[in-house]
Amino acid sequence: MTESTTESSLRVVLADDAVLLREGVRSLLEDEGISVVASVGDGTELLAAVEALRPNLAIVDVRMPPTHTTEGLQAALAIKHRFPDIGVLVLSQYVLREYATELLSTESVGVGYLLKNRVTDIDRFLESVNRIAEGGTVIDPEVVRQLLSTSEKQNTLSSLTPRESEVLEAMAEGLSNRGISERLYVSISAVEKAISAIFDKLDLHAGETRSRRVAAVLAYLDKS
Amino acid sequence: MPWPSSLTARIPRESRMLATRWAHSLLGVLWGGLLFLPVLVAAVFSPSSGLAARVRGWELARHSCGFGLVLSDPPQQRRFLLYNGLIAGVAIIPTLNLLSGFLVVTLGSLIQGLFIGGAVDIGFDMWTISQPTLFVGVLYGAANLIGAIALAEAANWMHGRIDANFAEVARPFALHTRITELLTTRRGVVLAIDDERRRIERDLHDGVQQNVVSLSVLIARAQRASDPVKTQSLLDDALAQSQDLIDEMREVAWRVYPTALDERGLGPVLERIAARSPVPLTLAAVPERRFPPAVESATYFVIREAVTNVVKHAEAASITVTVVDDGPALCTEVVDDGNGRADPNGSGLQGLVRRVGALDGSLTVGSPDDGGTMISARIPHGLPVPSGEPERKP
Repeated sequence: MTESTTESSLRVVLADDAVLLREGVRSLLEDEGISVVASVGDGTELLAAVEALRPNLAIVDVRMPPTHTTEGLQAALAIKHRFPDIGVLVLSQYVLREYATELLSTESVGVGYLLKNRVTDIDRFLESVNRIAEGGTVIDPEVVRQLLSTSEKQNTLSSLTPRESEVLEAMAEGLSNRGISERLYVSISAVEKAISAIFDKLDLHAGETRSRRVAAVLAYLDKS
Repeated sequence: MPWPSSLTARIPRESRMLATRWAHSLLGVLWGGLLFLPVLVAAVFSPSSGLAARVRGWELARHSCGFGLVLSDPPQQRRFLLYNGLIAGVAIIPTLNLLSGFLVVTLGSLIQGLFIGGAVDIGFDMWTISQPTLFVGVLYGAANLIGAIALAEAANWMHGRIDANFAEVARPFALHTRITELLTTRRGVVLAIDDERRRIERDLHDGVQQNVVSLSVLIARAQRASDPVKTQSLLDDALAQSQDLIDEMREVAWRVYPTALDERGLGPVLERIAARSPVPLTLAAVPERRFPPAVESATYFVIREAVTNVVKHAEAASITVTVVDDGPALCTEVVDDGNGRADPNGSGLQGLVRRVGALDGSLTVGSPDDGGTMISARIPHGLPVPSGEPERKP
């Protein structure tokens, strides 16, 4: 893990109004050789920093001053709109499906939505950071779980086996087949089989790229 | 009494009650128009005569149905009938005038405007409205009606004053006013509770929760670090931060509700506010005795919110807090020497107004543009006045 992160020369802008947490994430990233080029406390400063520094990735808290509602999310959407190449990872205190879908329905390239406490699983957090910076999509497993549990989809989705649900979740997180096989300790061919079973059951046709897979799954899950 | 449900717009209970009250008062005045002559005649006879007793019964019925004045025992004095009869006689003439103005002008112009069409001429002594529109007609009619209602209310008040001289008066209508007030304050309480919850949520979200996450980041980094020295220093940081977290937690819990308020009363709790205030705070007076919990907690929250506001916005050099028991009520004053211009309609102050209002108290904000703010609250506590001089320090 460590080699892969040191060779990446990621430049990150951090935005969170909770200073302790911001500094925690900053040192966590710097431990791993990722350079944090700016860390700011609100949406306006964030946009200014992104404009000036053009980082690879912006990590943004949803709630920030002045109104402590969705400034961070708005700023994230603005970044995505103006600089589609810059990855945006939104960290949130709670799962709000609307936030996730609003974010993912933009361009769906290089975006992520994670719960704040995922930060403490450092390996997975760094994996997500790198994936988003490379243009991938990362959705918090909790969001996927919530999307899965909405009643309308219950019927189709209850036909998924537990293993297939796990695979779907990992797919939504943007993992490749190999990533999934490593995460779940199964062979790649087992993953491929599970995925084609999922696409069959959900009546979807498998796409080629990772983000299209995620987008397809999400599009299906969000259809109400 | 349920309003007909076929009406899509439900009229709020308060305005219905007000309309009922006005209708009753008007009825009382009209009824007085019929009664005032008999009442005046009966006043001439001996109070014990059969005629006087019967007329007195009518008059009492009018007071109770029309004005909501219920007398504890029927006054036997002639003056009772005399005064009431005079008032009834005086009130009826302008009231009839205004009511007939209302009926004739409004109904007339409505009929003319809606069914007949064309202009209406209203002639006065000196001038004529040659072409009153429907609007003018309705406006004029409404003005007449409002005048009649105002007169009826005045008559209601006069009869009440007169009756109070002869017997104890109970006012069932007062109950309506009270209900209206209670409905308003009940709504206020719900809003105040929501404000409070929002504040607590923010305290937890922005403070405690963020600190917990950042603490777990520290621990995770410590776990991951390969160098034992670095692990050790990260764990030391984590320990220190967990201590801060405990303090923060205690602070938030205290802001939610200081238990010391229940156990020890206002004094110690206010001293703590004074000790922690970044702006020098003088406690000029705090009563020794205990008050009902709701009164103490409302007083505490008024002071805390006021002090928070001063610290946040006023750029003041000093705050003075005075709490005085003035007998029926606990009076609180928070005065600062800051830059004034506090907004009494801000959500914080409105929350206080509602909180105090729910206890039948009142809250006033004096905040001139040229500086200094005074927030004073008065909350009735319903305790007997203690023997000896009531505590009153300057």
